[in-house]
Amino acid sequence: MSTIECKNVFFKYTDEQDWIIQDLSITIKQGEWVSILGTNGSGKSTLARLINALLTPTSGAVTVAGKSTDDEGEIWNIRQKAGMVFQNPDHQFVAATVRDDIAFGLENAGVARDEMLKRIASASERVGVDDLLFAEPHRLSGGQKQRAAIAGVLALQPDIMIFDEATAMLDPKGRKEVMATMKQLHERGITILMITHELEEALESDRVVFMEHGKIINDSKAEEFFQKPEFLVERDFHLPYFLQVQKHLVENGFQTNYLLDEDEWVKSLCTSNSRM
Amino acid sequence: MHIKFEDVTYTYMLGSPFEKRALNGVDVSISSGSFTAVVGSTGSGKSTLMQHINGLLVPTSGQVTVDSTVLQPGVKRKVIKPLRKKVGMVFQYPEHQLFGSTVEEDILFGPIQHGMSVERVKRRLPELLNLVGLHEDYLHESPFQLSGGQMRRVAIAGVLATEPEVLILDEPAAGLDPSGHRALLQLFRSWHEEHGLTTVLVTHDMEDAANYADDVIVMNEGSVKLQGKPIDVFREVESLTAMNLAVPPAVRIGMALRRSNWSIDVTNQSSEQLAEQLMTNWPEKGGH
Repeated sequence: MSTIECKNVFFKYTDEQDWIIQDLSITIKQGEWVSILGTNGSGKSTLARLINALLTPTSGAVTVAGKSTDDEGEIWNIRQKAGMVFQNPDHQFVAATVRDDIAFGLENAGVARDEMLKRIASASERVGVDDLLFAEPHRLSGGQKQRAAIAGVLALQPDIMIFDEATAMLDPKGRKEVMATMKQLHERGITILMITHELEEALESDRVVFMEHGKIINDSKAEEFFQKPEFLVERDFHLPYFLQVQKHLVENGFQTNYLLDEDEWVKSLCTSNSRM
Repeated sequence: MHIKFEDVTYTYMLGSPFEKRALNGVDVSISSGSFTAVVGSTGSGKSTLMQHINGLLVPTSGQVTVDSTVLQPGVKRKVIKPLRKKVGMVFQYPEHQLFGSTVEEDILFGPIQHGMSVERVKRRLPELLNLVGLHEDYLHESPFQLSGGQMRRVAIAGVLATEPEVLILDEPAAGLDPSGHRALLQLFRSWHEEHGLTTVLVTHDMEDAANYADDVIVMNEGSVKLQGKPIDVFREVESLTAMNLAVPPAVRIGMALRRSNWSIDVTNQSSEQLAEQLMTNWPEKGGH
């Protein structure tokens, strides 16, 4: 079990610079699926890097499973517990085949060969790249590459997975594949931290954290957050179309609250119409 | 400039064991002055298609005509070269192609290659930079100090500075945040109108195709499957779904509502318009 805890965290790269993260506190429990939203430059990616000890706070503390990211002796342990998947699928491959790529991380972690083979088999099967183990990365689609990257992280048996806009460079099919994989990891109890610009993706999560100027300005359950779409509209976020329509209906008193699943909403309209 | 593909086939690595046919007998016409979206899933041949428009690729068989230039197998370089000046290309992630030590140097590279008057382009730089949403103070900074989104704007300014007559955009907004995405597409649309360009937008974002294009071409497995006005193309829900393409939500929702007897227009209408129609036809309250 790995709880993530940030306490009064401040961060900047250089003294002259403004704070990138300022006085940020948050607790994330094992098994939560948290979306981190915010515009470019709001500090989302910095927060992710603070959590897996790629960066350490200028002041304040970040702990993962009670271990501080400031403790040099714990850094590798924390990175293994909190794995990260980045945006560009082409920047994450180091080896010539998917199998060697997954093995790379395991080798670095000093996993024995027998155990390594077992973990490669189970991680690749879980994310559905077991039939691609001998494929060369450039022959894979974007979605397949991202799933291979996820398998590489998964093989290290993390408690937490951080996705930093991991679907931004994918086509709609690739996005679906990666979202389905996240859902499945979530069901297995892995904590998911998902940095995204896509509200459709945030709708899938349990909790929404919204960042602005290095601070958290909203932290609530997803279903509560999306009941107030004005918050997003004011910040120039593009609401999914079915929520835009509902916004007009709510404002005109035809609907009292928002249904957050498109099919469910369409179905409710269809039922109300058949009752005429 | 009118663009015409006649029975164009293109095969990568012809004659090698890795031979792969990317275009298969493509016949398609893009009319002068139009804003055309080319949509298709990954591997559909849309990027191969667009690379024929400035002669980066030359047909394996068939021919491509751009204005008065004809590109056929074995076409000479001297035929292609003048075409490159007329056709501007914004590739995916154009910020990866920056190299200059200042923003100004980077933007001027294209115009210099095309033999344009440097002085004239320099005078227009502040205006151009403003247009892409950057302050002119950036001209003398290193592009590598900028954020990803700003770097992309610099790269785009470099293409616009060459004053192309045809503008080819390959997923220009990929990876930008929502407001950056919209700002960029609006920029291309207004540039298109002000300069009377022919614009080709390669995308898998159907909402962008619906919102910005006059004409849509749908590619699948190396062929053109559908072409027409956005709304006519988007009504082909079944074939689009079979090709792994998303139908714009207005059409998808409109059709589902129609099936349960709502009298709703199935068009690519705004959310406000759909809401209006729903409210007009709303069943009487308490009537169950």
